[in-house]
Amino acid sequence: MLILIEALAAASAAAAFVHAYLYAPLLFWPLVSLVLSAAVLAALSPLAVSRRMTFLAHAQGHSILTAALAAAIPAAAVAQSLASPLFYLATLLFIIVLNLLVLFTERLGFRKDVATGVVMSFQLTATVVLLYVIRYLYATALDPLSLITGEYVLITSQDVLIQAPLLFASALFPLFYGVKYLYAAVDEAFAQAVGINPKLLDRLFVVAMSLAVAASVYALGSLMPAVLLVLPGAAASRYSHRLTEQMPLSVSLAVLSAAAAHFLCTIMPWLWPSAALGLALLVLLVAAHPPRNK
Amino acid sequence: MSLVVKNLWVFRGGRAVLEDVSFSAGREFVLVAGPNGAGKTTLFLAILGQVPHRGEICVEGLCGEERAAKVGYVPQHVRIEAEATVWEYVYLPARFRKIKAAEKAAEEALKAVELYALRDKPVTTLSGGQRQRAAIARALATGGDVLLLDEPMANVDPQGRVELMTLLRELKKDRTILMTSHELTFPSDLADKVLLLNKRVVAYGPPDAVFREEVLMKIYRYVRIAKTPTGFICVTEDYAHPH
Repeated sequence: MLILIEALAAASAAAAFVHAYLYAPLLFWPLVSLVLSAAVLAALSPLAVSRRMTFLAHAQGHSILTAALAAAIPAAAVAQSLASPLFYLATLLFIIVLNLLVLFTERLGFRKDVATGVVMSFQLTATVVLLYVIRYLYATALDPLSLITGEYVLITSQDVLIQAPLLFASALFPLFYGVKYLYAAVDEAFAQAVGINPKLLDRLFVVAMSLAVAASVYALGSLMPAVLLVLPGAAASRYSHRLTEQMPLSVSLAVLSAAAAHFLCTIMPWLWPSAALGLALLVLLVAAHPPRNK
Repeated sequence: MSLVVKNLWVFRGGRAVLEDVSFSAGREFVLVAGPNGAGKTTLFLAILGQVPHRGEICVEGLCGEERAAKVGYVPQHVRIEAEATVWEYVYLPARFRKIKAAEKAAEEALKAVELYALRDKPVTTLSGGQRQRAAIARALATGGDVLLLDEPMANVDPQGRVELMTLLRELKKDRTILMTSHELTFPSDLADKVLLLNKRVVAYGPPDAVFREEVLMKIYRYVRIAKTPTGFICVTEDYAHPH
């Protein structure tokens, strides 16, 4: 099953790239950005699902909006545009601070879901304030809606060049620690006995998640990264019960969905690509036959 | 001696959890008994190097942190919170520990506990007794010279207990096994020694020497000892006939 899905994902991604390059060149770099973002976020997704961090992953939607709005203020002041390294870096900084704030709040004695809720409440308040500040200061230079939906069609090779190192850095965590982190989700006490430090990995995971979300916000907006942090992992668990297959399956399903999203948007231009991606993932999740013995 | 513990002290929150514990064990089965809070699990965590401690602990001659690689551990609560196959459950920790020939070690461990045929099944679908056997296989694959079993009979049905005891009789032939239990009922042929613990060593020796009323009365208020025809030693807290 894994090999079949991997082959299907590779073939459909290749077809989408060729189609974009030959017939829709304006969508080529956006598609590159979409596939890269989807692959890295999906690699993190089984980790969030297994480690019961889906609520935190969904809170990324709120965190990234707050972080991006906060980052937009210096970015718009300096460059009058969000397509600048300053915007990515400031977003990354704010999102890491907000995510680590959840772990810090946990140390005050709250459970993970309550800690996430507490920080999210603070973020929602800050978001309302920031929306008004941005409207007041940059009414013509900046449309806050673009931070929610993303600027998919405006993505250029330059944006992909800024995104790539952040996504690469984020991918290092699942590459080197993914299987260990998944095992810590199976049995934390024993993982500790064989030298794994789940608490340290939790922190590294949050940083990796922050990097991926910050890298994706300009293309995907603030909502879709949260979807990509949950759905591919949840779908993968319906295709296989093997721990070691979760990450490759999740990435393959996300890449397959990204390619499908490209074709869907070409046929139905009113459908925003990131929304089409979420829709495709949902179909793949529902269509899965749970593995035998489950 | 496979395991040597000398003058072990463990403190938690400024209070001593283990006080000057010393004992040694060769290739034998040691039942670590004592009431709740006696420090049984803490003793295991100290042997694994997972809690700060004073004193010396050596496993197969290794006295530093590297001794943990010689120790197989079955935690008190075998919780399985996410999906993995039985094979992954046993093999992956051996790989994380960089055990030489991890695959072979996992295969042999699964065969020893008679779960090899179920290696592709999700570990979550195993019964309570099978889960304990899988946890023992994992301990065998990741260390195995010294096995620490923390309350392995808890949450296992009677049939599962019989299967586990049969397995432990096989395993004790060429290993040092320490098994904790807060219940004082066990088959008399299983334990070679009993370590009676209540923060400090109350008694250490063959079961017949330790399971005596005058010894047990040092930590339990009311006890009654009986040997069943099937060879079980039953030590019960006897509330009906207090001394």
